[in-house]
Amino acid sequence: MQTFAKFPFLPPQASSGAAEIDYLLIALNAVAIFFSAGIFVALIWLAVYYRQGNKVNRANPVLHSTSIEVIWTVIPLLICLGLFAWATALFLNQRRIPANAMEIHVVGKQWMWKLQQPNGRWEMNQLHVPVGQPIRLAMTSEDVIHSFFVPAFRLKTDVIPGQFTYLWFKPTRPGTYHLFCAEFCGTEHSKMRGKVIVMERTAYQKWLNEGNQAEAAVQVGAGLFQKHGCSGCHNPGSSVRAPMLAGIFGRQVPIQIPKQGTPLSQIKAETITADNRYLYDSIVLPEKEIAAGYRAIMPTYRNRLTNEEVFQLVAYLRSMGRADAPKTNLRQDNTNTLGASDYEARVGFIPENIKGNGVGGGGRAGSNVAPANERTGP
Amino acid sequence: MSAITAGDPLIPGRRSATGEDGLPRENYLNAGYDLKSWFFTLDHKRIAILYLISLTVMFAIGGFGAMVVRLNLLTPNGLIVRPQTYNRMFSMHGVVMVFFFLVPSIPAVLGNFLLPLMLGTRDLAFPKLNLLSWYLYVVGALIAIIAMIFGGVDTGWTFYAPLSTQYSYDNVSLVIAGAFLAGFSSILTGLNFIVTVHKMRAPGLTWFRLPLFIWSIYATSLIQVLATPVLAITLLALVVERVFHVGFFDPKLGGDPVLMQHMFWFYSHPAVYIMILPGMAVISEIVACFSRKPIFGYKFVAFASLGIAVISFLVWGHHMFTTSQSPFAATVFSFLSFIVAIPSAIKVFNWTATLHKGSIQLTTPMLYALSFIGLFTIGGLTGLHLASMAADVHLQDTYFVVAHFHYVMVGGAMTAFLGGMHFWWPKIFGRMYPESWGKASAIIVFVGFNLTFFPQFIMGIEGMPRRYATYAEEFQLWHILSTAGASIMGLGFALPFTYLLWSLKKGPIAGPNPFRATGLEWQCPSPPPTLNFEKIPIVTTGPYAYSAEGDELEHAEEQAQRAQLELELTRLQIAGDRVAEGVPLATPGPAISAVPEEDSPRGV
Repeated sequence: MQTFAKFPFLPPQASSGAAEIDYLLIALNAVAIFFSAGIFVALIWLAVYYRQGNKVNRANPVLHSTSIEVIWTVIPLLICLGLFAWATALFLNQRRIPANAMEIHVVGKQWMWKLQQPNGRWEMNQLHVPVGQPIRLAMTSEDVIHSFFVPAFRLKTDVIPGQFTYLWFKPTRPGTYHLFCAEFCGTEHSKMRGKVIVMERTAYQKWLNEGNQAEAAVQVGAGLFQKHGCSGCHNPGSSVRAPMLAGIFGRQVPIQIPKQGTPLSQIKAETITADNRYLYDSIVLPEKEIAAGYRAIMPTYRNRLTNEEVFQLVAYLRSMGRADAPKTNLRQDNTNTLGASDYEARVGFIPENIKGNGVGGGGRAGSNVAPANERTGP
Repeated sequence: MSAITAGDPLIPGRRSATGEDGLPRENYLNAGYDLKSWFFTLDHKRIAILYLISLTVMFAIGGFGAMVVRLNLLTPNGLIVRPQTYNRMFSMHGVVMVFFFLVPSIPAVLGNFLLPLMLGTRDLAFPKLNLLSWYLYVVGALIAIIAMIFGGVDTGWTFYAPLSTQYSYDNVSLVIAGAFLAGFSSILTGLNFIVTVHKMRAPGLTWFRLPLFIWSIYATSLIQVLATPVLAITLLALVVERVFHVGFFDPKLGGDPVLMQHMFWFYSHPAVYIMILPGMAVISEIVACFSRKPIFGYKFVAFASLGIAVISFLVWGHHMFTTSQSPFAATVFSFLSFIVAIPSAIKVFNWTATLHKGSIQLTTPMLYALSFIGLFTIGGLTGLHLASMAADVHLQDTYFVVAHFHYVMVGGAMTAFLGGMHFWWPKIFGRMYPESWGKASAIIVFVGFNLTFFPQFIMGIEGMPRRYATYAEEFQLWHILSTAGASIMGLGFALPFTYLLWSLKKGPIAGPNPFRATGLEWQCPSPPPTLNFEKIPIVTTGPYAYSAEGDELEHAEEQAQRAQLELELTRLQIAGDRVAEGVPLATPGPAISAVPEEDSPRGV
């Protein structure tokens, strides 16, 4: 399959998705060449044949014709729709990350890549991966926007500060390939280059156990969770009431978005999914969304943690025992009419400010109810 | 366009209005020579000249940036400058060429000059606003240039945050201020044009009698007025974040860097059409004139311009397929990006069909126009690669993108600008450019352009990222070819600059209508008087009253006359020789009073 779709100017194909992209590129090139060549030939032929003074039939020129217009509107339209359908199906299909993908953490910063394997081994500007193993890169940036680009995989995804982006691929051919930063990121942008080294599995295993060993992101995150005092409030049984975080990732959580001049107790709660964005923001911008029913007293960790550390903390949170999560029938809808029992299902207790509001009325926290003053959040 | 004009410059009584130099005794150029008459002029034609001069300076500065970039890329580690300087040079090239050259180019020079002439009116609706727009442009350009000389800017013309707001030490705020002012200049021009087209058309000049130039410029103006304010907001937010650390875009301040891209491209994608639609405007006029035929499918071409203007607002997300934009949004943007290709395709097909059964003269403007159609076709078709999400994931931010938009911006907009400048040069200055030099320049630009940018498609597919001061060795061959092409193209641009200047003094007198074109602008003298038309023309027909067949007959007649003349001349010569030899003259030679003047204006 890799040798079949080989256009003379394409880089080597080294991932499972590359060949399909190449077919698309070849088709696009064919369309472009066909129509450009057609227009060039038509222009030159017409300009020569109908040059001034050439004795040819110029009688009754057609000056407009709706049927011709329709023909050359509809044909390109159909071609465009076909290409759109093909490219979109391919794109969406290739974004589906296989469940067995191995996660490697990528941090971009001016002007280097730091990559860390699941066992903690890290490297700079080099990425070793075993052939045939689906790899999922979880990426973030310490500073500006970068973009992780491996031409041999036909893949590129921007690496954005304050967000996580993902890129997955299955390397199919051992070898060494270019890794480029594709988004202009400052003075030494063009030096932000590296290598992706696809290895046989045995060689990879051997490599994995040598060199720069560091704790895996999850372990580092666990350490940070203790060191920066997160556990003081968020661990079960702590004296300050703060949301329990076990199994929080991917769950629907009730939040309140503070509004200037309105007491928290009077703000409607709504539910959102505790995704990477939510976890990241809760650490860096805790005042943005408050876990419903808690007081907004969590300090920001904006300048106390590096982006990479936030990232490691989030990795830890994601890994935290999902099994501990309360077994309940979580509502799937995203409405903000949450009853007391819904809250209980989500956070394990009924917040003070919705007690007595009855089922379905929890969204509008009763104004006659005092705010939960001993709770802290998120 | 046939029209009844009382003040027809060709009627014998007006001939005496010609001065000693052969140009009209009273025209907008000699209406005053002091600085005040230029810097406080409200004449749309003089403002167009002010723009032309300032744009030429900006083009030279932007071109200098490109030259450094291309030279530096001759070797993988950078031939002449360090990465910091390289980054400043490509940023300067981008900022200057986009904000200070391409966006204003055709509207501000040709649009300003021609719009009132084509509409059969005396000026734009708001002459003072027009002058203000030039001052805004010049002040913006000066601020940006000074900022780039003393420190530079290294963010690229896209100013992506947080690089531009928190991490760059260069004069980002100043350059942004310059672009901000240039944006307002653009808004004022657009506003002026819209009002003028609506309110000041000559009697009888209905919408479907408008030249396609006006339709396209009108569509451009709509985009300028509606999209540019968003650029202003974006740039303002960037400066506020940079100076006061208010978090719009930097996540460390609580902002979202992808938001900046959405806002930036909400303007900057329509801006691509601000640059190319006026090019299409010019091409429609040139193709009609030198095919001696009305544009095929006039209404389709006219509505294609408006279609492009509308859809261009809805495709900006295709610049962001590799960001965290949601797959659903990306799909919608991809779909609309494919759709926006259709009106452009319609235009290309209609121009090409116009040649059919035409009487084609390959003059300089026509060579530029044909080269525009070909290059724009390549630029447009390679846009499909980038509209395809799966392919874009590979091609985004590579030289493929660079090649694609240069095919549209240089192969398209710049080629059209040069074609238009040649076409209307005799109208603007009253003198002809040298035709053979013109043709040479058109061919040199075409060859140089393709040699510069075609290798960049190949490099891009191979994975060469853009904005790289240094690069992997396997790309060197393509870079060398590209630089060689750029040198040829540079020569191609230097030629018109030289011979057009020369023609200002030495070019043959053009007369009102050297190309026998039919637009209203050709019915006033060249250069036109300050008030354009002595009496406002009354329009009775559509814009392209050309007839290829009739033109052929005329041409054949002219050829026959010329052959006859040559015959007579030969006869005379033989007779003369005989006299010299002492042979007595048998019969007197025939009178040669019916000798047609070559290339004489024939009126309308």
